[in-house]
This record gives sequence, C-alpha cells and structure tokens, in this order.
Amino acid sequence: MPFFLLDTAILLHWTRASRQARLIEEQFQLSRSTLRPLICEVSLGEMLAFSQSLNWGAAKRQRLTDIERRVVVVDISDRRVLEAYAGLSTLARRSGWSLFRGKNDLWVGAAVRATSSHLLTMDRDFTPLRDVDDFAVTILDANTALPLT
Amino acid sequence: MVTGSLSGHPRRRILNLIERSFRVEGTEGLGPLPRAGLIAPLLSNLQESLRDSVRMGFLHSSRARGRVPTALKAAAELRFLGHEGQGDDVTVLHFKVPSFADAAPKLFRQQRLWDDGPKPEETAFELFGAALNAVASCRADSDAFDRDLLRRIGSYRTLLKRGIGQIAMPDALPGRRGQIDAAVVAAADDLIAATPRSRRVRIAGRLDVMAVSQSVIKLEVGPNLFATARWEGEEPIDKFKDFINRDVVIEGLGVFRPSGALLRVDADALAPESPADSFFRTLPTAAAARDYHKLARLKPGEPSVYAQILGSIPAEESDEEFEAALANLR
Repeated sequence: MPFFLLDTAILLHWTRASRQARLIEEQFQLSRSTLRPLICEVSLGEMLAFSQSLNWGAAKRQRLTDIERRVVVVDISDRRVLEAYAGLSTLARRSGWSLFRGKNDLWVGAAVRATSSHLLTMDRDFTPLRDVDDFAVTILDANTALPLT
Repeated sequence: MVTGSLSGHPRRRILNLIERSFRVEGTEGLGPLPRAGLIAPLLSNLQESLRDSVRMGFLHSSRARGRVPTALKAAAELRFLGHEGQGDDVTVLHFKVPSFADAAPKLFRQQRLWDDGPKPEETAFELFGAALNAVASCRADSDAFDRDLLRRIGSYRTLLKRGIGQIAMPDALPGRRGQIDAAVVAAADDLIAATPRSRRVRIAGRLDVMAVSQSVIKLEVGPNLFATARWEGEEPIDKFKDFINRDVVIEGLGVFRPSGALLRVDADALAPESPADSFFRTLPTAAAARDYHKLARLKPGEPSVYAQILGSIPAEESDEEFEAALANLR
C-alpha cells in the first residue's frame, strides 16, 4: 500500500465516517494499512478553521488534537518541501494552472512531492499533476468518492 | 604516468604536471569526433568541479569567499592535452594537472587541519573523486562536500540529459576514483534536500590551529572535539595570532552536513572567551531532515491509525452544514 497523504477534505470525511469515507474504505481498505496517514501542515490550520466555522466545542476540538498526534504531519518549513514548493509554484504559474492561485494546494502538492507520497484528494485543481512525473495523485469525486478518470 | 612541465611566465616556478583523464561514455555525440556542443560545457563544468573540490579540500568550503591562496588556484589549473575516441560512444579527455606537493608546498608545511585532508601526492582529480564517492555512498557525515559542491554535482544532470551516460576517472589514484552518472546526481539531490539550513552559531574553545594563508582556524571545544572555521571577518586573521592556545569564542554562520553535524563556521567575529561563554563550549547541531516514511510505519502489533481515527469526531452537524463548511475551506 502506498504512503498516502490525505488532503484536508478527505481527512475530515474520514474522521466523520461519512458516506464518502465508507466508500473510500471500500476502495482502498485504508483501515488495514500498516502505515500512518501523512498530512501537510497547512491542513492543521484548515481543520482548525473548519472547526471554528462549525462552532465545535472543546471536546470535539480535543479530538482533532488527538488526530494530529496520530498522523504524520509534513512540515512546510522542511527544506525539501520548500524546494518542492518553489518548483511546483513555477510550473503551475507557467502552465496557467488554477493550482497556482490556491497557495495551500501548492503546499499540499509540495509535501506530496517531497515525501514521494500518494495524494488522496477531492480537489480537482490537482488534476494537471496526474500528468507530471514524480507525482502520484488520486482525485475522488466529492459525492461518489470514486476516482476521477 | 606521463609528466611534463609548464612555465607560463618567465618568473613563475616550473610545475611538474601529472596526466589525468576523464572517460566520457554516452549514447551519441562522442567517439573520436565528439560534438563541440557536448564537450565545451563538459570541459567547463569539469574545470569548475575541480576548483570547487580543491577549495573544499583545503578550505572546508567549496565557494570560500575572500582571498583564495594562489597556490590553490594553481592546484586546480587544468591543461588540456587532447582527446581520443574509443568506438562511437566513448571519448577520453586527457589533461595535465600539478600534484598538491608541487602546486601548494607551503600548505603542507603548516600543521594539518584535519586528518582526512588532501595528501601531497594527490591532485584535484583525487579530491573530486573522493567527493563523488562520498555522494554515491550518501555519506551524510562527509567532509568531502558542502551544499555548493553538491549543487555542482547535481548540475551534471543537464549533460546527462544530452546523452552522456557516465563520466569516469580511470587514472586517478586508487580509492579516489569517482564517477558521475544518474545515480550520483540523484544522490546529490537527496543530500542537498537533507542538508539543514545554515544558521548563526557561537562556539567557545581553545584556539588550536591558525592557518593564515588559508584563513582557516581550528578550535578545540572539548577532548577530541574540534570545530573548523573559515575566517570571513573584515580584519586580517593574523591580527588574532596572539590568541593561539588561548580560550576564545567565535561567531559566524554555521554550515551543517546532511546528518545535522557541524561542517564548518564561516566566522566573522573572534574574541577572548568570557565566563558567560562556557555555555557555548559545545558543537552546535541542526535537526536532521525527518524521514517521513520511517515515521509513517507502524510498529509491529500497533493498531491501524486509519481504523482508530475513522469516525472519531461525532457527526453532530447535518451533511449539508458539513459540505458547506468543506466548500469554504479553500
């Protein structure tokens, strides 16, 4: 099984055990994995913002903190990530990809590149990366959780 | 071994030169009539690589700022003898280069700055070969390279993309023969990525060695614990010669190896040690890059993290509220 790096939406679906999470489990059998999920550090901020927007109480925010301790957080200050960010940002700008405008997306992409992991995401802005060497990306439909072709 | 002599200037000392070569192998553009567009950048890159390696060997810094001793420039001075083709896919480039004993005899009369440094009978080729060997073996604690030399090795990627498959050093001294190929370039990239960022450091210790011509000093921080520094301050280094064998403190930019151990300090301040400096009687380290794959692997018998966090946050809001909040994330 590959080293998966989960984008924020996938992790939030997973922690909610949503319908999409169950469909992801059916396809990837993640709960049998002997690997911890990787997440990019920017996802921590996004999950906090998410919890505030839904007015989560202290108990639910504590559970979020517990999850942070169990996954592997890829630091964006890591030199490998910084260099991957520079390369990806330049590529995205020159290619006119919408990914260039989503700076958090660029950080997530850089974390994937730097860790040679496999990105699981529902964000279609990552579509061009499927054709780039050294990137492994699976984009799932936000409703059906099936991989986009 | 072929030797010769060179006297480019009537007053210049005649150097005995030793023959060394690079064997270039590739898929196209080589042989007895190599493409100029392939060979010209290769010659330039090889010359720069040898210069970097000599500076690294003697100064602990491949791109040392400030004055570089003339002897070191002479030690990296390549003279092109010619080339020969072997079949259609091999070109051997022949050079003459001085030994260090010949080009830089004064440097060997000084106290040796480190045990595994350049040897009198060696040439720039041997230092470059040693650096390539260290990179090929991913030696994260090596003295043979710094980040700039790794970048130099990585820059051969362009030539490899143009059809060169391998550059070998067939007549360098045994044990110091390196080669450049895709694996070495990839290893250089990995080592660059793993090298921690340089940061300002302060180190206290006894000033053990001062090599004035190289602007290099060595501090004994503790028993068998030494820090090497390249002096980059505004004052001439010999201003501090009275500090030899005394306890001092230096400050400057700490440059680290991929392992996180200190490689050198580019020092710009040196002063007598004060009682408050005892805290700095240690070699600074930098956090080595995290191995994310290692961190991600569960210990034997450890339960699945995916299984533990699945549904760990109660779904108290409606699906519509959840989806709307997700849509606002980015």
